[in-house]
Amino acid sequence: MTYDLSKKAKKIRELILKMTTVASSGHPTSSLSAVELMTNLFFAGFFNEKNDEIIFSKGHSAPLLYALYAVLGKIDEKKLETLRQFGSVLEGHPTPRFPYVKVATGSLGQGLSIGLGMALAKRLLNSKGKVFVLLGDSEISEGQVWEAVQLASYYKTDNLIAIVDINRLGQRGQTMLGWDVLSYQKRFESFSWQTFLVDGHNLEEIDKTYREVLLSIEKKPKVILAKTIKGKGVSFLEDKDGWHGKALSKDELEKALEELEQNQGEKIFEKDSVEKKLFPDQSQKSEEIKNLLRKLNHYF
Amino acid sequence: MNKNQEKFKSTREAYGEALVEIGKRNEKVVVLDAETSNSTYAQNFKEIFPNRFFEMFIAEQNMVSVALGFDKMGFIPFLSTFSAFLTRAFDQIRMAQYSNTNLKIAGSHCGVSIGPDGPSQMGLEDLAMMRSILESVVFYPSDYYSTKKLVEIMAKNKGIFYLRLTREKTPMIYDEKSNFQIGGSVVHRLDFTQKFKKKALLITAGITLFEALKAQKDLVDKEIELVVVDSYCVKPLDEKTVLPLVKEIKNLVVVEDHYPYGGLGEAASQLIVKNKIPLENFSHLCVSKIPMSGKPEDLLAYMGIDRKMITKKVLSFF
Repeated sequence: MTYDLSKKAKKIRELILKMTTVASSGHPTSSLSAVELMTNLFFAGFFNEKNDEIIFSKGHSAPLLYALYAVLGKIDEKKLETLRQFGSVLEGHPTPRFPYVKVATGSLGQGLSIGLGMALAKRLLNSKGKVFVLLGDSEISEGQVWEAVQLASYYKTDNLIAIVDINRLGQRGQTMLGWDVLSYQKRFESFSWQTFLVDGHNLEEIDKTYREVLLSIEKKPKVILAKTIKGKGVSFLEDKDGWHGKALSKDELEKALEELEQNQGEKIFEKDSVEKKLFPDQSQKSEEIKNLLRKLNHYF
Repeated sequence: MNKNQEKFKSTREAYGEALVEIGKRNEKVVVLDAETSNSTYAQNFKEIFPNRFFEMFIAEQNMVSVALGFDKMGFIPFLSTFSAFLTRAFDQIRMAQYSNTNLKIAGSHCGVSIGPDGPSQMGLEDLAMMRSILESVVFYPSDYYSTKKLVEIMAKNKGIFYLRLTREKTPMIYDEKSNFQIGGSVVHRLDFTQKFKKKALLITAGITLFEALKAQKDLVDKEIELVVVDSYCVKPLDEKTVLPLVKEIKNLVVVEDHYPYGGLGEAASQLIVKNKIPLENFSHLCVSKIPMSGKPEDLLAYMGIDRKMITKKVLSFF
């Protein structure tokens, strides 16, 4: 079975923009920067809903979370229009009132610690499941993030995977490190994490990165440092200051949706189980996979 | 009062022993501590169940969120450190309440009664902090037996629980059969003093309970009955017991080893105002000065939360 991931990404972008405009508030641009990272995780077979956990530590990208579950068919698309309204389970920042979320997030810097607790618990349960935590780059300034980083390496929680959406911009401007992903890498590596750098909007690269992450048998926590663009997909939002936590007006939304339509690409992927994805048919082994296996060989 | 009265043990020791007991009965119990396990006695659990003990090192914020992660995977996390240092994890505790969590938090070394280590080590805001969590339950036991029972209750019931623990050894005044519950209290009343016309009511918890019980005896000579309530459950307060006593006695003293704000004194005042009970006398003895190092008994005296000040205050009512 094949599927077009870019079509899904486009659909998710549309939903993010529409629901925040209906709500007249929310964080569309912080959601748009992580669309490919999450689309690939959810729809390419890397995330096993039964065993794995996902925490949106950057809780303000709730519109992305809700859009993902709408495209998964878990919630009615129509329901997205109730975002942020009184009585709706689609709160401004996720809470477990939304049934696919276990912990409330939105106070930044806490998600990685919660994920670490889950990862330690899974180990105690002899569960093979993994814990994915989506972090924003701004929240890396929180001291608690580094408390979690150092403890995760002490306990060698190799089932903990952090994904940092490095979109450069915080609430009022550039973060301390901006797009200096190499500095992030140095910092995580100095705490004995295994790091992976990726272009956070390139679906093929992301696919390859998740495969590498899941194939790694290093007894280390993992972090994917993804260089992304805040507001990605809409020219007048991309990498622009002053668009944090702001919904588009109806006119702006129309313009944005038109743009998405025009820039539609095509990225066909094979949909497989995680195992098949990680260990594809030997006879069809591509150069890329050969290289990957060679690279991983010394861990085996 | 019973035969064990002469024996002393700290409530933190009781915590450590209770953890081992609940750990034996329930394999879902995990224990986290921020590098203070030899002080909180969480190390007792570590020695028996090393796989279920997690050293969090000195990083309290991370500890609280890690505990939340354990909870969401079906474990029952108990976490401990000094009550003073838990305050830096307030945001994490506050956030946990929005995740329908099952968190058991123990804060040891509360109050000025820790003595020589000085103010930086004294938990004096912890009752306020933990009471402010909407659906929390807050325990502040005075003795070994009540602590052990309350830890069992924490393990069996879901929600955010706080257990305030004392450094000093205190008399073991209850026994294994004593009954403790969420929203409970114990009334200490001397039978032969009931005939006295002058009566005062004293609500307290923790280490100051023993100061109150000493004052109770001191006041017998003056023909004053001091009814002492061990309000080991600070939240929710035992309304059923406290309200009729306040209505009957009308002279009230609240004593606590905590700052004036947000602790037992305010909890009791709120209850009385809410129920429109007229009082003749009210006094709140608490830590109302910046503390310093010293012997525990010197500090209790300096703050005016000791036997002497309680006796003096009650006498002033008549």
